[in-house]
Amino acid sequence: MKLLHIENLSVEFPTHKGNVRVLDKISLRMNQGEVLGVVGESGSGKSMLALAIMGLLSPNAKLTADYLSLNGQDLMKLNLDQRRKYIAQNASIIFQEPQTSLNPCFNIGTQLIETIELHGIRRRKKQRQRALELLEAVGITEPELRLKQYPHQLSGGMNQRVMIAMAIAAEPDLLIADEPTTALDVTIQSQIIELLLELNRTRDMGLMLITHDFALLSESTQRVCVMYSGQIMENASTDNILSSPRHPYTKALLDSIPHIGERHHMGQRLYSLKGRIPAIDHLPVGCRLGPRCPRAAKECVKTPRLDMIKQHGLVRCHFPIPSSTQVEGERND
Amino acid sequence: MTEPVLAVENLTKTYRESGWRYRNHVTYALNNISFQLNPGQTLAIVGESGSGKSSLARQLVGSDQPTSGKVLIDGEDVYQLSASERKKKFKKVRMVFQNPYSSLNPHSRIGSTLEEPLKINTSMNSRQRKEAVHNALQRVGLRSEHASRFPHMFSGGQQQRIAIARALILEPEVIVADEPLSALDVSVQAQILNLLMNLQEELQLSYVFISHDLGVVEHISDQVFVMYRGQLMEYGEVDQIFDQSMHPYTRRLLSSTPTYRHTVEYLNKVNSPEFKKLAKKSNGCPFASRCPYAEQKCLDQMPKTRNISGQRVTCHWPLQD
Ligand SMILES: Nc1ncnc2c1ncn2[C@@H]1O[C@H](COP(=O)(O)OP(=O)(O)O)[C@@H](O)[C@H]1O
Ligand SMILES: Nc1ncnc2c1ncn2[C@@H]1O[C@H](COP(=O)(O)OP(=O)(O)O)[C@@H](O)[C@H]1O
Ligand code: SF4
Ligand code: SF4
Ligand SMILES: [Mg+2]
Ligand SMILES: [Mg+2]
Repeated sequence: MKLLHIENLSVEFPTHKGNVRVLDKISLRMNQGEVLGVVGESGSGKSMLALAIMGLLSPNAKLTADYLSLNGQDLMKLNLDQRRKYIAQNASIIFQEPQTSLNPCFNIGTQLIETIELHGIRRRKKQRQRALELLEAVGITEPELRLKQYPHQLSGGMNQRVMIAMAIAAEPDLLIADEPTTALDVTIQSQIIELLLELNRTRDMGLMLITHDFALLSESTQRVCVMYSGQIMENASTDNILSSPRHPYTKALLDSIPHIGERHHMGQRLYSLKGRIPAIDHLPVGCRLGPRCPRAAKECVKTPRLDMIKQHGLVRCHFPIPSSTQVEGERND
Repeated sequence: MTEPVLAVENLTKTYRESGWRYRNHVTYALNNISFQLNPGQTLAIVGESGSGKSSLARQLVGSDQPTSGKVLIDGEDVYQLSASERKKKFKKVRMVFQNPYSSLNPHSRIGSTLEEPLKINTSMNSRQRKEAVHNALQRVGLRSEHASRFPHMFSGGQQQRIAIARALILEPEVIVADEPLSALDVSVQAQILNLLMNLQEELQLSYVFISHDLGVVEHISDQVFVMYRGQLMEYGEVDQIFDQSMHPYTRRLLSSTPTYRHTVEYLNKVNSPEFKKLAKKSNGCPFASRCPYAEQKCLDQMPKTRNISGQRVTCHWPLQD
């Protein structure tokens, strides 16, 4: 049984110019306990995907899917109330800015206990005990003191740990972390990621790690899903993506990051994709990367499908980049 | 020997926390900072938030005055000059901020935003100013017709180009860029980074480049200055800092970054709560509470900055493996 199984999920919003489709036929699967990375420039639809899975889209959004299941339960067969309840028991999400998700007017204890109560622990003493357990599980020192403190009295990293404590209160099988460390210092970033991975290992909790930091994905994920303009462009194992990206967009993202050991030389420049991600209501005809793509050709005015490439993964491109190992093989023939 | 375009000597900036709870506690945002920047070179400033990077940037461009210490532009101590002479000096050192949108006036067309410094600082006539604006826009990869538009009509990357054009308009020698990429996507970051490198080579510009992204720092800088709580921890050539860092804090930063984790030896030990408490109260090394190599001496005594074959290290026990 898959932890998460999505087939052709789309999300549309009504606007004064008609409907805009912010997610276009997303299909992906996660195994129990898997760590999946989701990358893409801002505006590519990563957060929208997370909200869609969590059932947290605004009411005017229109979600359609051929199949959408979490822990074996077909979510499309549940009504809105049932769906919310089921998702809350099986999945949790944490966001980029812990400060905006925590209520500044209540202390940590009140907020944490509220979440614990939601998940069925009624006795006051038990609740408190569970709260302390959770804070310890996420590596917060002096948990007794923290319960009495308010969000502004804690550092950004500490608040993010509190958010994680709340998120795991229900012992979810899936945790979605939407850019959980973007707002934090590097030293804190690495601690938070380590914590998430530890929870993944010790509780066999599936983790969807949304980020724009490829270096982060390289260490922590098994698969990576690359999004652009509301579509999946490439979906393959992390090793394949890093050693031999087949989609021009994936390669461009990787090439635009300075590489280790690359130091200041006269005339040396980074690769950079020209232009920027198109507005979702002004998409180019055919392949959405077309106007920016270095490999674009006539054919690309037709929309490419997300196709399987053997021994690699799924790639949406008419002219995928040849695999680096394949090229060697051909030479040997 | 080339003379530094920009240098600071024993620069210190304190802020007094007001309010009864602090009992007029004094924060050292900068504590005795010294460095030199040579023409055409890039000096990167690294450190976690709160380490004093933005305060340093403000002292360098003259938007804030240091509590003590010197700022030298082209070898001259600016605070020894008359106000008008000083203003002339600071024309050579201009700033680019992290968030391009909030740094641009939303109600003002790009053209007049760019013209503003020319009106204040030069005796150019209107035609000359228009031409300077046109040139600056071209330089950063924009077009003259963009001058009549408002900031919100541009993407984040374009806004950062405009901010760079504004910094360039007075033909400075030094640009101080405070986290200029962190609000941008990677592909746009690469565009801006390339632009900065082009401009440096064309115009012989020097950069003070503040960043927390070590990958970018390794790529762009000639020297690296690592600071913590307002103090110099380690300062040296990019090769020294990335290949043979000796300071525990530098190692800590490198080992926290996935790309560099495997390039350094770093003890991953957490100090006991008792030790942390003692360290926070002490007047010794500011990093002691978090430093896995800390010993009693680190609490008793602030380490001096040593010069080890050209590399500056503020630590009692510089790492040597
Ligand atoms: N309420 C909305 N109505 C219409 N479009 C929206 C709405 N909210 C977000 N969008 C659009 O959805 C797209 C995806 O956004 P998002 O999921 O936030 O991207 P990411 O998280 O990858 O940066 C963007 O183009 C954004 O403009
Ligand atoms: N105007 C100010 N008043 C009081 N304290 C300040 C002021 N500006 C900065 N500080 C303090 O100085 C220290 C350094 O801050 P800053 O220069 O912003 O660091 P960074 O840019 O490295 O994050 C911090 O402790 C900050 O709280
Ligand atoms: S389909 Fe064409 S435009 Fe799209 S990514 Fe492939 S080569 Fe580029
Ligand atoms: S002086 Fe001591 S505490 Fe400070 S960095 Fe060096 S070893 Fe660590
Ligand atoms: Mg997002
Ligand atoms: Mg700052």
